[in-house]
Amino acid sequence: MSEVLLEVEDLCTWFPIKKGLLRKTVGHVRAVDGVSFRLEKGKTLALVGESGCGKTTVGRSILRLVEPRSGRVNYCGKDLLSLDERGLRPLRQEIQMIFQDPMTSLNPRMRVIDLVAEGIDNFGLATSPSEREDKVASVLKRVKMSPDQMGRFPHEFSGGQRQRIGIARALAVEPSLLICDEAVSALDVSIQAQILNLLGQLQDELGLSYLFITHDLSVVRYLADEVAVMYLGQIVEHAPVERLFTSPAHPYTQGLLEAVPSADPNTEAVRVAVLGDVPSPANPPSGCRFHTRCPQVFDRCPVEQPPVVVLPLGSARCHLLSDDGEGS
Amino acid sequence: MTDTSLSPALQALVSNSIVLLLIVGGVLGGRAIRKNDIWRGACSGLFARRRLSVIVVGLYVLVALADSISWVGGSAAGEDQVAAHEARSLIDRAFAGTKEKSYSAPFSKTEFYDKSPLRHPKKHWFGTDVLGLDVVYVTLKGAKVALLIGGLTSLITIPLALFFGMTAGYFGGKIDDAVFLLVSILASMPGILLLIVLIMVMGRSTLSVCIALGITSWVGFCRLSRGEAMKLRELDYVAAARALGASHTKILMRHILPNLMHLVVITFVLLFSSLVLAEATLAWLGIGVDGSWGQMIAAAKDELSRDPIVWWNIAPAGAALFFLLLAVNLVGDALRDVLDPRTLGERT
Amino acid sequence: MSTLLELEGLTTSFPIEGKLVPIVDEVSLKIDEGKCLALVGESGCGKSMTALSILRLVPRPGVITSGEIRIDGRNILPYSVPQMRAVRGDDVSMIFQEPMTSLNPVTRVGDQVLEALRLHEKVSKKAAQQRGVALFKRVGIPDPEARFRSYPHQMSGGLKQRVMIAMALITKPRLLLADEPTTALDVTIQAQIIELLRELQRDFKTAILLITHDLGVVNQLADEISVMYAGRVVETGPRQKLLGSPSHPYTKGLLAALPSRALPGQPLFEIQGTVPSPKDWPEGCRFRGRCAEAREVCAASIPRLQDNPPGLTRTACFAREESP
Repeated sequence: MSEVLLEVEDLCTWFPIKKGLLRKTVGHVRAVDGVSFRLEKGKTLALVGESGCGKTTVGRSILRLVEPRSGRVNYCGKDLLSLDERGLRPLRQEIQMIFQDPMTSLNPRMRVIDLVAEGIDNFGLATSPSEREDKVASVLKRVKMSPDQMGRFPHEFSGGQRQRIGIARALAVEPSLLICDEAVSALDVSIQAQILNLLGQLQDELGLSYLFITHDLSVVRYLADEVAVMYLGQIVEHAPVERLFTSPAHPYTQGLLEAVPSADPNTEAVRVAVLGDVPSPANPPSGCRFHTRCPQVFDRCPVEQPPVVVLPLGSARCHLLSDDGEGS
Repeated sequence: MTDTSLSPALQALVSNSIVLLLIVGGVLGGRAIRKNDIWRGACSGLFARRRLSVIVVGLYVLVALADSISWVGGSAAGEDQVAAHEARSLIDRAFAGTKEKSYSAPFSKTEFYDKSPLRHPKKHWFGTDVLGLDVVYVTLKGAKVALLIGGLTSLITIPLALFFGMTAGYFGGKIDDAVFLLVSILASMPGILLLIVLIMVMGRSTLSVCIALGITSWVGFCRLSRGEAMKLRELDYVAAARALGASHTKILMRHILPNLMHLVVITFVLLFSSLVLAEATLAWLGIGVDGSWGQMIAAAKDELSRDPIVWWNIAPAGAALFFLLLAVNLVGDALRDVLDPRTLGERT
Repeated sequence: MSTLLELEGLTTSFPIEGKLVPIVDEVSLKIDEGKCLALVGESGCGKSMTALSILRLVPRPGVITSGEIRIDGRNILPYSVPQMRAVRGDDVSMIFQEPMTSLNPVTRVGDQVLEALRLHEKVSKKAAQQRGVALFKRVGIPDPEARFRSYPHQMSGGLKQRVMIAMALITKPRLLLADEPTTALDVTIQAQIIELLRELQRDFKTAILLITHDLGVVNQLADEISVMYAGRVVETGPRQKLLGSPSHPYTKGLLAALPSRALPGQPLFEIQGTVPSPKDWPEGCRFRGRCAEAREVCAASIPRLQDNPPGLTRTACFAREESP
């Protein structure tokens, strides 16, 4: 229906592990190991997973804040990974990021006006100081902050307000795609609701597309159109949001959903469906990476990596679902 | 400065221009600080905690400035001809014509050893030294020397260390390896020996001593700024700057450097103290700067072993040195508390 | 069922801009033996400080200015330092939020657990070791003998939290203070820890004071819930009643703002405004600046918790006092 804004193909980002006096590379942390997805214009794709799954690295790889090892990141047809810094620069305006920690996402020594105008200054979007001030004022109003606050410093604001300033900074360059890296995870519930509503409003008003990276499944259900679940560097399931929550296909997704504690006094208690600890991304298990913790593991799982099985809605990486796999 | 290659008039000009620059710089700096909430809060916090020390340091600075404002000519009667052609400062002029022949005790009427009458009996508060110069006069002149050693050397050292440390910490990789290697080599050399060699090579002027001290002391701050830069580059707002199209230079100037400035201020103050003490050690070895308190103290070792003891040279020099360094260190500690970015929110 | 812990009018104050501000303001609560009370609220509401006050570990310059803390009926506020040391770690233990910084990185994990034991009981090293390893097994640490000799950095977050729980439970405390015990953990690990805490509570009959902002976790573990806002308890009651039919406007707003309670197609419920910082706390009810039901009396006096019989929720709100 809508055009595809962002298409990620087989993205791999590995971090070298260096040991010894001469800093030799002894191995790699395979933070992102073959991730592919598409994001349509005006939609929200949630990238979900627990710590070490690589979701934050995916976001940073798209912006080339870390350098991927291989793969393609197609933005409106152009492969971002093949461009040099000069070719990449104009496209940087199109894709912006909002960060998790409101305490470290703003330079404490800069005033709000300078913080928000950073992109405006770098891309030359304002030709005079008064135009600059006007642009900052208008974007602050958009995030429901008063423009007369622009002379203040970050420490004078609360966490939620700093998050708004971060959003304003990203919006100031008029991007089309916002990567929200755990943007509400560090906020209290009541503030989280305000920021989520703001993000929803901005999406309607400005036609933004969101890549929403989070570990909080309840937020996902509220905000996302599509969900991709990651585990140890790979996407294990990808589905439209309702299908994922009502009939999850992958055992990890099922376990994840069962583990989320609900605040509804009438629902069942959490179930521990996923046992043990997350293996280290430097040394992922053989075959299916989830097999060491899967309640439905069988003999094929440790041996062979499961293929991506296309389902009626979405896809999943699991032997149980492939044609010649054995269901349980 | 005891640099004999410049003519007296030129010396005076250089001295006076530096004073002017410092005053102008101070005024501009004060205006900038007043406009910035963070630094203004720091200054008022500092003054509240260590009022006395700040005032003491201020007094030393005033004395040093007074010793730097100089001009040629206009000698009073009773002075030798040489004086008329030298550049003499306010302090020189205040003590013009007070020279005796040799040692005299404080408030004494006669010379110490041969008991001949003084030209200015009972006027010398701390007596006179071997050349007959009033000890208070020589001590006051030492202030300028001390501040020069501490201040000028820091001015050389800190930008050097900051540049290397910041780029090494921020860029990492080969640049970091190269700087790290350089730093490790320098840090492994015995400081005193390196100082002696450098001074032998460059000569004994104030400038060369300052340079030598600078070369041997930049390593500490380099390591510090490297560590801080490494921490800062991982912060989200640096990543945001990259996403917003900032070049590396812009990021260094806008995000890394301003967040290192508090370290610069603290290091400047604390380095000052260790440099002045280092010069005292050099003076002991005979290669210090002429006119410094260190030299006075070093010369005292012979005087103290005489009979009767000549104690009035070392006492004011030692006391002046002690109180300056005490005040500077107290200010430095207070600065460290006041400029800690973590307490930013609590103060405003 | 006897009352194990009772706080009555506990007030802990900090000097802010010259005035003493009660960060914990006349907080009263009760925990019975073997039960779990959850102290719920957002950041800055005073819940963590309440727990620290119970152990009298309030950081300077804070000070407990009034009230009583009764353990088994005995007021521990007048206790001397040696008497408090006997209480801490023995009768009352605490586990913290960040497993990364709560364990000493240069000491083996097992030694840290045993340190807690040997401070309070006279046991031989061998017997202590046996108890420690057995407890490790009980809290679900795989390969307990080997893990006993590990260092913290060799363990994952979930395992470290289990070690913390073992450290807290080895002296068989009657009361466990758990300050955001699962907040820093992944959801699947959190589920494991929640299940563990439930089992341990059942088996060891330990009472738990659970401090958290996560209402989902509260729903899994608590018998009773007390909601705090700006230093005061605004509502308290049994879990099902409070979560099912909240009374106080703040509790209602908090539950309504949860994304899981969102109605399809509608924006999330927002509590207007932001939490005021202690120096800006208004007179009277501190929530009134954000409350849709605020009225004149809310500015004039402080609402108190109702005197309802146990089994019902008690609310501190003038708007609720009209209906019996």
